[in-house]
Amino acid sequence: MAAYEGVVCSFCGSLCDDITVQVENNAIVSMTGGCAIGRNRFMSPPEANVPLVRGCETSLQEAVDAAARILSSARYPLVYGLSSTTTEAQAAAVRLAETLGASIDSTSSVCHGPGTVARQMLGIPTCTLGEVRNRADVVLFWGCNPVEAHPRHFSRYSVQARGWKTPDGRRNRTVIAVDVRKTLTAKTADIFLQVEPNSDFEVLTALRALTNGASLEGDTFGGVPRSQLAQAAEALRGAKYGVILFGMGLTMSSGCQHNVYQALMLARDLNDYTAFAVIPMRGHGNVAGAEAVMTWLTGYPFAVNFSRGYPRYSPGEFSAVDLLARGEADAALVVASDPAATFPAVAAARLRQIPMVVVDPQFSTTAQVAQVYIPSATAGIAAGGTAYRMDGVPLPLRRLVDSEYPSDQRILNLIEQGVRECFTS
Amino acid sequence: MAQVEAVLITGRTVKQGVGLAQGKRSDLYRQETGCVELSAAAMAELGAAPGDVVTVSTEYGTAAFACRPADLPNSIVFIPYGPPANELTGHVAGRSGMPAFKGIGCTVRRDDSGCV
Ligand code: SF4
Repeated sequence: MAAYEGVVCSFCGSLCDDITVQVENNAIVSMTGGCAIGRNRFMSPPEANVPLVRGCETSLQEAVDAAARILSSARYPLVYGLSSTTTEAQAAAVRLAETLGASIDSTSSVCHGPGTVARQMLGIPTCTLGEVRNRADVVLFWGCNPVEAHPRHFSRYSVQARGWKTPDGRRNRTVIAVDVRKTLTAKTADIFLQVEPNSDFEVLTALRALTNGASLEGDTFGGVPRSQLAQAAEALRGAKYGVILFGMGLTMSSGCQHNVYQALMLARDLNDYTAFAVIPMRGHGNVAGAEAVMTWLTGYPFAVNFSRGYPRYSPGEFSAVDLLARGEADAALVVASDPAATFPAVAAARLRQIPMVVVDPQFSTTAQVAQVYIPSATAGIAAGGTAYRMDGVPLPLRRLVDSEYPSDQRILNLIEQGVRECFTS
Repeated sequence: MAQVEAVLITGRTVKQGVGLAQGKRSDLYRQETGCVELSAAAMAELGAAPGDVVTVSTEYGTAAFACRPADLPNSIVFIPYGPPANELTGHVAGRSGMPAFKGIGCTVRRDDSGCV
């Protein structure tokens, strides 16, 4: 039996790096640390899958050849997914997209993409989760529910976590939650602002005004009484070190990037009085890495198009849902993602119509409707590499067990080789 | 047929996350993503008991869910992320690529067919 300590769980953007895993006979037999989701990630190996072409079992090489034929003969291929694999595989996907002249997009465009657009407009005062743990005495959760989506965020980083300036953990912190629902996160907060759906921009604007000492006419703003907003503004200004952690309640609600812009402006305002930082609560384990890799390699974080031989960026035009909903993409390569199960119906329907190649350890809903399915080794369990935590800190993913299938990176390199051969033959 | 007009919010739950980690074909994932949460008042207005089947319709589609009560305003219904929820979400042009996953107007009806 082998024991691995300091293992990183790559299910969610918290990337907890304090997991201990015991391996026996090439199987994980126990793990400690980790939340219920992490435990299931390590203890539920994917079913034994095989490469498939049009539903028929085949060899890895045959599947790679079929994938290369589909992608090289498409007029407008789309490469999509990437947020549950390693940065090394993400880089291989970008190179393949460039070779194909494809559009490439990550799940960012359907989660925090609008926040990234806002950051491009304004910049972001940010910090690491270590600084949150050690310094933050006022924590504002806006449109996110870490108790359910990032179950160890509270204890490792933001609420109960004890650090240098926060030796008593929760008692050293004021927690503010803003949400349309009284979520489990909101129930733990000292101040809860319940906003009406699609009113975040209005509430943020009013909160900024109060924070800056302006007087406001009106009794409620987006469903929130002025007295509650004033209480929150006072708590924010009273912080020694504050942090705004925002989720898809901002990026998916009406206003999208404008909501995040306003949250960033709130932090900018607060930095006139005290120290304030902002961190997006990224969902998938390495979605932050997908944005980082695409930015290094193309200059842009997501929704990138190579059809003119150089990268162009246009969320809303080259983002996957838009390309599919408009019926433009005529073939797709999906890596470590399940858009047939997660995209709006119109985009999912287009995916079912076009030839699709899926590279994924799981035989996902998308894999079930693909022409080519290639199983891969699960990143962080059967394949090593790098992942980026939600605060942009890179962490190593370990290979704990062996898989009969290669990593996503290796498969993508093989497909790219096949595509090059198709183009030259 | 009793019906309630509301705003749909989709999002993560712990059970949905655990089900995801177990695999999307797990019973837990299917059960959790097949549920809709309603306020107690909305449940009463529909005459629905926990576990009863309701249909939720938006301008993009309709799907059936098992309902359960939750601490929600009467005007909000919540569905965990998953394939049934995505029948109800839509592509909206001009949103920087972001589909409408939250804050969508919907109608909830009691369904007498009894199947989800
Ligand atoms: S909080 Fe996220 S990263 Fe940490 S153990 Fe749970 S699922 Fe894994």
